[in-house]
Amino acid sequence: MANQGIQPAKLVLLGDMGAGKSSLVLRFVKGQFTDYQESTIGAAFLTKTVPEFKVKFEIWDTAGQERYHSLAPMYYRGAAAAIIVYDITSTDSFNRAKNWVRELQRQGNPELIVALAGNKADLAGQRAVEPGEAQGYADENGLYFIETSAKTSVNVGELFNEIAKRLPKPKQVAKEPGSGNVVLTRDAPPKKKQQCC
Amino acid sequence: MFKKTKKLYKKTKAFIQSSASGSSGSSARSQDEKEESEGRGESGGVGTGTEESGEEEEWVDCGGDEAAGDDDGGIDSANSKVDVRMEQLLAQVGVGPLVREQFLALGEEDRKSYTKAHNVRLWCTTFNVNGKPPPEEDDGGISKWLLAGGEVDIYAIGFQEIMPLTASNVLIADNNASLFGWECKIDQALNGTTKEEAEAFFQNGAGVQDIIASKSTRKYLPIMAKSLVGVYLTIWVKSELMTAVEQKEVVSVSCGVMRLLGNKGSVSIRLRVWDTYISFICVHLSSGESDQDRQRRYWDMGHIFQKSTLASHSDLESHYNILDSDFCFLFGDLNFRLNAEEDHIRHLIHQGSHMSLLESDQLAQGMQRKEILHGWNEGEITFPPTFKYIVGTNTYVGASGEESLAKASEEGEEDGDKKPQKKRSPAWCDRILWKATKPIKLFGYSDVADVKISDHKPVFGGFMVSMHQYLEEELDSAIHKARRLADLKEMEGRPQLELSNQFFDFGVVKFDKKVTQVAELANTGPVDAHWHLSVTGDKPDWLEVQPVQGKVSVGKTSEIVLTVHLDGGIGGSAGTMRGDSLETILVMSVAGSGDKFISITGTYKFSCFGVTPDRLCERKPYNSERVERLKSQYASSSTGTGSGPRPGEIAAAEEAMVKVKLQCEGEDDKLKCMLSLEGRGREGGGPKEEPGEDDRGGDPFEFVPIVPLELQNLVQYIAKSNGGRGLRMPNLVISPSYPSFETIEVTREAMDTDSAIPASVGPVDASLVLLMYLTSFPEPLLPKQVADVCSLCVPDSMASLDLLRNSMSKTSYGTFLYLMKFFRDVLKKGNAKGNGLTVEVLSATLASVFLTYEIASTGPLSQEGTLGYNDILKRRADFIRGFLVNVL
Repeated sequence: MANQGIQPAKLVLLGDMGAGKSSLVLRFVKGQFTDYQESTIGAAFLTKTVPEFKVKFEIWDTAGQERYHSLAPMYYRGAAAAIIVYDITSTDSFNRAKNWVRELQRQGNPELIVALAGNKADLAGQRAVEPGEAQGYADENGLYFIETSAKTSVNVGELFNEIAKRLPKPKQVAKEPGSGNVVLTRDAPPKKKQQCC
Repeated sequence: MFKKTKKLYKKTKAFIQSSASGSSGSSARSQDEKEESEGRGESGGVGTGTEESGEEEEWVDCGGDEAAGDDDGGIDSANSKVDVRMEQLLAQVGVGPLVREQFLALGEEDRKSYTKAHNVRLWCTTFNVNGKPPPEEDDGGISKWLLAGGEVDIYAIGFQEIMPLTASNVLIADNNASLFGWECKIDQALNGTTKEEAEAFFQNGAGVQDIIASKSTRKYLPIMAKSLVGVYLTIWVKSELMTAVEQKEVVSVSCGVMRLLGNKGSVSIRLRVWDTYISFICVHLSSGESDQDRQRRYWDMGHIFQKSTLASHSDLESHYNILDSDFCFLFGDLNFRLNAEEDHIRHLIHQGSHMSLLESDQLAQGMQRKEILHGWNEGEITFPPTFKYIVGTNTYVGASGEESLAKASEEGEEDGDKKPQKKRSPAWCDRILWKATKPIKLFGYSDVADVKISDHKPVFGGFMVSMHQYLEEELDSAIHKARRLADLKEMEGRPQLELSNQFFDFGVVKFDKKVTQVAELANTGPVDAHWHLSVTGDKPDWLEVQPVQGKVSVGKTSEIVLTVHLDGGIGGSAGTMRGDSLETILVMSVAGSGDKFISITGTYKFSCFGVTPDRLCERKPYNSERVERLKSQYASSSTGTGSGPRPGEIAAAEEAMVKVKLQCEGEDDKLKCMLSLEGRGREGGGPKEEPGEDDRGGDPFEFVPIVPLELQNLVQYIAKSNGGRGLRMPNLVISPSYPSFETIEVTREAMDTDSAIPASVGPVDASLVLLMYLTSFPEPLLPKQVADVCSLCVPDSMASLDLLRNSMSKTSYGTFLYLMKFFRDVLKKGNAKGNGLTVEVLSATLASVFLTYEIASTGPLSQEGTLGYNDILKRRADFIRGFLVNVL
């Protein structure tokens, strides 16, 4: 009863190596940033509660290296939301982000909330992907698009909050009575039989 | 504990006793006390909604918090820190245990940020009016009684016997006239209104909401009142405090006759002022001087607490008890008497030393023995017993010289009671107690001798309490902070497993060479780590991982042994290899934490061992270049015999190549050709065109490599070694001594590179390597059908050929026939004489190599019945024998 209202939501970050997935997560969860973030070899698991939206994000920050691509489904399967991150200074990373979008679309989970994050917005001088282009792509594909900077923390909170806002509201159906029904139906038929005989 | 409270209140003095009481007891009060208390009265007014930092230091914490710890033997500190209201607020925003822990651990600064303190003066008073209405015209000491507290914020005024406890009053509903009269009197006293004003005010029957809406100019307003027959509790609140009262609840409990009727019992009101809960419990317990009566009062008290549950007004489902408050005040006619001889009591009172009677007070004794009201506090009693006075006087009933008068007056009053009146000893029946978890200070505890309308005196208790208001925004941000801390703590509290390395490169791995690397795990986290490994898709056969799951305790290390091994034989991992690359990613999941990827890479140095002839030929395609190389090798190596490359030898290499049309006519001829291995010249049909080096890419014929060149290399070497007498060597094929590891390696290396097998490898060793090669196939060379047929009967040679031709790939078929040709050579008279092999031994040996199929334990049925294990082995050997003998 005490923890009512706060719903866990699995969130996965996907994107090219070096796009800044881990930096975004660390900025969001711990408020930290480091210029030289080690590349993730694995899938880091972090949590953060957003009480305003009664959500507790369970964040899986996955390895961006190509070699680990085949492991990604382990993480985005069953996720409520995915953030696909690209680096605004790299056209390649944007193209790979599109590949991720296609892959997620192929998975055919209409419930999945997909956000496209153009990270490293602080490096606008080296921009290679125009926001308009990304926004257009996002609109076509029904994604939420935002440019972020893990370094300056611009739009990081907004990104996660928007996802939290879009998450489906929890159903108020208690689970326990449901499981109790199983027991009841299991017990019921033998009783009936006894009555018949 | 009672003692302690006494000590704390040594300083507390009854400060209102301006009237010189006529009773013998009251005279004990000194003039000093009077002056001091008057001074206090002036400065005592405390404005609400302000913090008085100066006052705070003086506050003596006499709350029940510490006291409660005495008996409970340690309340969970996490629980004791949260008051009822905070519990509700935390539940409303969904604070879990982790966040709660962090919230409670927040510093004083945070707590101060969301807590606004209000110092409030409370005035609790109790009066058993003995069924008397308020004095009609004159004040009768009422104003003095009610205004004794100076500037008061909240009045809790409790009555007992507000109407005579006649049968009709007990059984029939509230006697509104009495209540009306007293409320009017209170209004007059507190607000200085005239009798008419007061009556008009109450006659309107206005509810509290109307009163607030009417913007009454009254200083105090009644906020809630409730009666239970004779017990009546009314709360008056300073008008500017009205909006701070957020919640009001009431409950009454009857303890009287049949425990349903309200001649004895309680009326309780719980208020939430800002975020502070205050409970006022007004009681009238059973009377009587006997020990049984005392027990009855204990029972009443327990019953009242147990039944005083409140249906919550909040959206929470839980129910609260009247005691679930920051401040609880219990007052009323508790009816406890003195455990002393009446004469003794009267004597002491007469002497004016009634204070020594406190030792025999039933309530004080019971509390000391922890029999009743454990955890409650009472101020020091400095006033004389409050019962039983002769009405209109300050003289006790039964006091010398007054006895007859008292008796007369009593009999006159209690006309509803037919029993003869007992003389009653004086006692402190009327009491005020409290229990608190927040700072509280008693500033007055006394009776009011001036009020003489009843046989009881009114008793009051003045309290200064610190009420709190939780500021919504600030509390929200404190909870946010706690959530953030809980998140971090949760993450820090996760298992942390460090891997010494996440990349394991095994380099070039050879056939049947185990290579091992070790991954070290270190638990650097605060809790034990449970881990398990998984791979996406199928686990590669060439990798062994030990163990695949485990637990690493805090601060400890552990190892995972990774072994890459490409072995041959049935189901060997080398046979499953597609390509040379060894690559896989293990996912190490740590329960409650993230995953780590372990990359394993390496390159398999492909060998002819461990794969089927088909796969080998597919991997290393048969081409003229390789054939030429092999030809030249044996051309040069045979110089020892001085004969040079003979046409037959050259042909032998080429014979491996059988030109087959997919729909081939003239099977018999072709079979002859294949079996005789005399060259393609014999082959009938089909265009005869040399597969020249220059048009390798576009052969008009389908050349099927039927025998791996690696095998041919070895077979030819055996035949030609030892000056061409290789096949005559004793122990050929069946030598009990195994070739050295180096010999095997060297031979395999030569086979894999199409290079000459070094002369250091003897023909016997080479023949054993040949057997090793044949047994390294991941599946038997002959198909399962052959084994199945063998369990039924041994086919004749033509049928055997048909069977093989129809069930085998051309490469396997060719390889088998090629090998049979070789072993026929081994058995040729000249050779057999030297090597000592017999067709029986060789066919049995080869059957176990080519037909390595499990023999079902039950044995399949044949015409003769069930076949034994040996019967089946013999049949399999006979099948092979057919190829070694009949075709010759």
